[in-house]
Amino acid sequence: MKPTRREALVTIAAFAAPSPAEAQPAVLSAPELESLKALVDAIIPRTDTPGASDAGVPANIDHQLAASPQLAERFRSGMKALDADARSRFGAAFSALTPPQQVELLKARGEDPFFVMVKDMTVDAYYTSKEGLAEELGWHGNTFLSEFKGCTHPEHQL
Amino acid sequence: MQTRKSPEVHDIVIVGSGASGGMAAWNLTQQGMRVLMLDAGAKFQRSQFWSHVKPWQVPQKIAAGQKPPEFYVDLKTAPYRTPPGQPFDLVRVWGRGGKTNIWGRVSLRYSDLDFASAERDGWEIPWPIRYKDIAPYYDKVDQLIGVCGGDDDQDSLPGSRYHLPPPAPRCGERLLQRAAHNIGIGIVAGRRAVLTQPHNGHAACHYCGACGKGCDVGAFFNSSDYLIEPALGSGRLQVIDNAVVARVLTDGEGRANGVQYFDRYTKQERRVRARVVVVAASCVDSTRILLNSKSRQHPNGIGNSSDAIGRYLSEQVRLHMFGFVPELLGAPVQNDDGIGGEHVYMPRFNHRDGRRRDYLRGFGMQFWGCGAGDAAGWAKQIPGFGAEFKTAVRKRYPALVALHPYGEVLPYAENRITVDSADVDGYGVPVARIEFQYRENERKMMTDMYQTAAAILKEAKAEILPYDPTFMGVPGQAIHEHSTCRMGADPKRSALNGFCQMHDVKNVFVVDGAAFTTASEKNPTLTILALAWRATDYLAAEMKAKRL
Repeated sequence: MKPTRREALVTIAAFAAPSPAEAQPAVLSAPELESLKALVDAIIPRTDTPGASDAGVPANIDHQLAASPQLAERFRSGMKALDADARSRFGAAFSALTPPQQVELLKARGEDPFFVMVKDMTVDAYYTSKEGLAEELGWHGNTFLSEFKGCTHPEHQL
Repeated sequence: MQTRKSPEVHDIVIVGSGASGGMAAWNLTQQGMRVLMLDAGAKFQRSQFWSHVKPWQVPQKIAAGQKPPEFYVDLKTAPYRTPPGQPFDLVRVWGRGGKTNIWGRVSLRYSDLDFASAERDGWEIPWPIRYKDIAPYYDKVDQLIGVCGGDDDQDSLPGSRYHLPPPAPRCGERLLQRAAHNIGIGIVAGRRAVLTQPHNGHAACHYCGACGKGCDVGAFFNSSDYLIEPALGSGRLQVIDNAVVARVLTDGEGRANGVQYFDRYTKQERRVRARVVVVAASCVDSTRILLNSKSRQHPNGIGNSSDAIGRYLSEQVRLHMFGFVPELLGAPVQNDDGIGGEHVYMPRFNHRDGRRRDYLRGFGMQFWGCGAGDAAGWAKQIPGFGAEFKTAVRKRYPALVALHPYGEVLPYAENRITVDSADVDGYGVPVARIEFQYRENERKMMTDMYQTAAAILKEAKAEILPYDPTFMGVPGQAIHEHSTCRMGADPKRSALNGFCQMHDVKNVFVVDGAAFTTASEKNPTLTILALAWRATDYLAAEMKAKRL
């Protein structure tokens, strides 16, 4: 996958400190939140560590959608198409499918712009949550150290 | 609108409180001068910084209505224009210390490869100074602010006897250093204005890595704590907060006699009088002030008989490449915070024997972001989803390495800042219009930069994240604007002499990045500090000799 310029910028921006937005109310209805929860858990499921919805990803995305009507509209129309696909293939909305059915459907659809949008938001929200960053990845930074040891592996030296 | 004029005539008024304004205030008050500083914002309170807010606490705090310090001035308060299809991201901090509150802290000495570049390749004008002129000031700056680094010394990156101990490299940095070494490219200890031990009364770094949010203990150089507070302590500095300077004022002979400014919030116009004006508002805003300072003697802006002011805007061109080194895939996660940003640096080497290039000037390389970070935005580029995706991300997380080459952009007369009397901001002052484009030389250099970064990653046997080798980046994002009021020996082709003094108007000094003759590939702040110190030594001597 060749990244577009926008994606390259998004990638770069993601390395910067999180840029806090203004506090936003939620925008999604309860059924929409249910669909979003199913989708983000398909992207990052619960394993031996928490999954996306365990980490509060749906609420985080809801706040982001609330900040941008355009983004919310993209989400709603994308979710509608995903649900329509789910119904025609398995006879039920995406959130009502079994995990293997969800995987099958998402694999068949490929990483379309809607999926990429939700995946990007899920990645940002999950890997900055306590569950995703500290528990899953093992980050234990931003602390107070009297000394920084750096690399102590003799095999990494020149 | 009523204008308030202060009857007092100050010795010196300084416009701006960042690296250059802070240095000017510190040095001039040290020398017994009485100084007035105009700051477009106010002091940022260290106790309010979000240095130790964990990533997951950020949305919680925002939901609770809290806000981090507002370092960055918004575009409504401080608009600027760019032509369609030619973006320029201008980053500005209004407030005590300016961008030094959140700067990258990379502190590199320019060399005669930089100061004399035009003599060798014939592109535009050379600097009016050489390394020997500025070296004593680099020494003094290193000692004053505290710069950690190694004992290396080379033609493209002169050494310093005054470095504090450098922090140990992280694993990923070591592995890149080894790979680069194998293909003949030297990577040395980074040089950063971060205190690896207590220095001049300032606390040592505690390795939290959150420098970009402002340091809660002041363990890296910032103009407010390191320069302006001591200057205030001298009793000879007065600072006016929220003073947005619009113009340098002149007398009937065209000499500067003061400054016009607007209160940031009430928008009331005020004027102060001074014998000498030091402009230090950072490159673009200083240039805008000068271009707006029009009078009968200065129809194109003060000190601009050369038409050099506003022209030759030089940013730097850069790219970001990421990979995962095999030795660290699935390795135990370390605390990789360190001093925030890289602990190593690749000095320019493309000028050396045996290297061929089809462009002028050169590039160096930074490495911020190696190792376990406090986000994983790169995971968006890992394909797939589900448990496999999660595992793929976890395995790569400790193995991330990041390469950021920065290259010199040549000075072009057409890359310029202009003002238009019909297009004004909320204070009624004409805004800056920035026209900036990369050209053939930058495109060729970028090709070499991409190839060099990729070659290091390949030698390290790293998995390389997808990248677009034609992407030139967005101008302005290096936050290294230079050269729109450049110094030079010839008053017909430059605005300032080697002491940052205007050729046309002897009592105006421009001491920030605008004064640079070329941008070089290096981060400019250390050189800004050294030039401002040298310029204000000269200024003080000229005043004492009653030539100003």
